Amino acid sequence: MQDIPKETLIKAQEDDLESFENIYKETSGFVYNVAFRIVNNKQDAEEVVQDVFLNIYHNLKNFRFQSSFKTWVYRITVNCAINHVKKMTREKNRIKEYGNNLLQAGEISQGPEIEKLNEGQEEIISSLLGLLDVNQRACIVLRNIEGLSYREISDTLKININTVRTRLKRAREKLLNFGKEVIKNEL
Amino acid sequence: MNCEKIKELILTDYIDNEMNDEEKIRLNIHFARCQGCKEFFETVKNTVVKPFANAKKIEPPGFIWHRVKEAIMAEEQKKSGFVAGILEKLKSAFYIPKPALVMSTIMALVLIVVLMTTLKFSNKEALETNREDQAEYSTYSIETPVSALLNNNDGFGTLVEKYFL
Repeated sequence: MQDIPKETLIKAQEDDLESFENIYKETSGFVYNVAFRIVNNKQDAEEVVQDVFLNIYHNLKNFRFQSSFKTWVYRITVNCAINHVKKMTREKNRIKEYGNNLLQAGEISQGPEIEKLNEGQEEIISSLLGLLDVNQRACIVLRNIEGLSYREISDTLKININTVRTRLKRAREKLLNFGKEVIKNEL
Repeated sequence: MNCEKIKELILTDYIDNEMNDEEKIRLNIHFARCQGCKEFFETVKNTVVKPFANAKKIEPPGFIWHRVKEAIMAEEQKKSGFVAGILEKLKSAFYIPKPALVMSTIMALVLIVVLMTTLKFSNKEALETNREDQAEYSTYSIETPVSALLNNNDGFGTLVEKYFL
């Protein structure tokens, strides 16, 4: 993402839709990618992107230029995506309670599809991310896919830098254990 | 530093390049003599980092912007409709038809004239009463001797006050 000129942000704060569209063009790429990796599903990612930009539109007036605009957008994106996943998980549990079959629930969830592991890079990523809880997933996406530093992740998620470290460590331990199990099963 | 601590660092700061050069050198020295940690590092690199390294960047579908724009415009319309609705309600609350306005103006004028006339008469009466009071006091002052006035214990008791009186 290129740096968005301050004038564009100020104009958008004054409800200039054209400036807001420029912000959308500059940021929607990474917003969509982060949302997609966290919710692990294209259809849900589209909903999250819509939520994110409506959220930005409503709250842009409160943006005081004290932090980086990109960090601010990342924060809104991650929060919207995490909330979406939690909402879908609650929905999935409700469906389960009503005794619908697990296959139906699986379509809504982002659970790993182990048997598809060898079908391609995207399936591998999707399956690995599906193993993690949503907070660990957000950290892995921001670090391994978006390339943010620990400091940037800490600013984005508003968590302590050591919490970032711990979440990454636990997420990777989980992935390693999964890898070991796959190898064991193959043998 | 023991292997457990080294493995912890491999999973975090080392693999994520969050270490300074000095710490990196220390770990590299450890790898040179510890096959287990070196192998662990290779496994971590291949299992938890490489799969994400070439994650495809995907473009958001074009219709998302249209949805966002439509939602914003609908909200703006609703907002302006809400303001217009309030203005309309205020207008209807304070709306006075023209004949009623004319009539109320005439009534107000009549009321003002009546009030002014009444006030004028009452002022005249007050003036008359005041004049009578003053005349009565003058007569009393002329008829009463000064000594009586001084001795009537009306509060002008000090010598200085009596001197000036």
